[in-house]
Amino acid sequence: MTAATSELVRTSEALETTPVSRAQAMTLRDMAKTYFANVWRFLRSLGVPERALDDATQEVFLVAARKLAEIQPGAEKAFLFGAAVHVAREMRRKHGREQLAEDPDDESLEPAQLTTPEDTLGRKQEQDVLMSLLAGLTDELRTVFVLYEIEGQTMPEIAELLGLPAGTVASRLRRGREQFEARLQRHQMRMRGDK
Amino acid sequence: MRGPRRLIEENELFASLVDDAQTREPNPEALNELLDVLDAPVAPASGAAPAGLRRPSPWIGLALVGAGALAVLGYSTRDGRYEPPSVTAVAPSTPTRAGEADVAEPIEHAPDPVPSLPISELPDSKDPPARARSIPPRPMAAAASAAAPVTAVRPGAGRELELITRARAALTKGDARGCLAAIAQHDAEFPDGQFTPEAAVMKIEATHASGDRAGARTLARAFLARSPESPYAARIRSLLATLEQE
Repeated sequence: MTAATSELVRTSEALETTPVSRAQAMTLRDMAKTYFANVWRFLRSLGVPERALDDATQEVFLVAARKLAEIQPGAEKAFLFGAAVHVAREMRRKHGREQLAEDPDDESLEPAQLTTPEDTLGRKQEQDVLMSLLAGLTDELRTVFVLYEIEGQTMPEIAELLGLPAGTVASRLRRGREQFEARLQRHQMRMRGDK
Repeated sequence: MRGPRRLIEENELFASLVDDAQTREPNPEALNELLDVLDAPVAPASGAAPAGLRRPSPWIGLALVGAGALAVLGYSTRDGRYEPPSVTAVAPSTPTRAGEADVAEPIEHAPDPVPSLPISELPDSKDPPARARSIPPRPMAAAASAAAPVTAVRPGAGRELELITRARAALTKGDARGCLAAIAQHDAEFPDGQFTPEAAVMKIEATHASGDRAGARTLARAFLARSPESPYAARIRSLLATLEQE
């Protein structure tokens, strides 16, 4: 992934003008090494298109680099995830929603007996079932659902991260979960051969 | 405020889907590029340019003594193209598939910028962003995103897929030699490819199909020693048991 090379070079030039100490730079490096994959997966769960994932993840850390002074020790992940929510929103707007599966009830979600290399090959080419199911949620519901159900955040943490009242988080989680479970249930019925 | 019981604890399918999603990994190159840039701003107190962007010191030395200027120009304009050293400094992370003209193009001559995420939308932003600190344009990224297919993120994925598909088709037809040839090609081009496990399994099966039982046994044992937890381990163990009975 090198589409963002020129962006990185330019950002590096911009960072040159900011007083980044060696200690801070080490913090940034540590943050990148520790959380790069987490942020990447989080952005993926939020619906950032595959082709833009690497760029989006780099973008999150470049934001952190510019706002390093605002990041409280111990709150690095929360900051990165907060920035990721904004970056994901921007990326989705720019690239449009990834066409994972317009209809989560689509036949492509049919289960398969993955026992042979060619089956796995096909699986890798197929869209991810989880992402397809998540794609059925609105961005607002999806963000809260992913943070709670996949990232394991608590509701107060989500409220703080998104800057939302606790009641709003609870409401979005409830609705997101209802919708997701309904889709998941349909998928499970198909897996059992019911309809 | 306690939340509801997590779905991952209630639904096995959801738990397995999440587990699968957690195994996905970003391209390591993306992290390396980022680390290169994060390293670069750590400049000496003199405020010199970041190491990643600094022109190689031999070039500067030559410029200082004045004797190397023509030599630098001569090197840079080799083959009639300008090859700025600053771009060369980041070339290792530049896609090898990019056209040479793209690599040689000075960054300053990039296409018109495309607006990116405004700082004002970011969390905890109290001060208006200084112009010098705003997120710079991403012309190459935007162009690549608009023009390139998904596979562009993983250069060579299409070729790797082609080789694996060819190998599988050959094996299915009973053409063990054709399969092994395709796998050899795959292993040469993609020693650490996305489908390396599949290639290894097919190689064992094709070796067996070709009549080379001893070779298949050796490959199967090596596979199991290397990847005892592989999803294909049971399959290979079964094959190995058959081979050892023959």
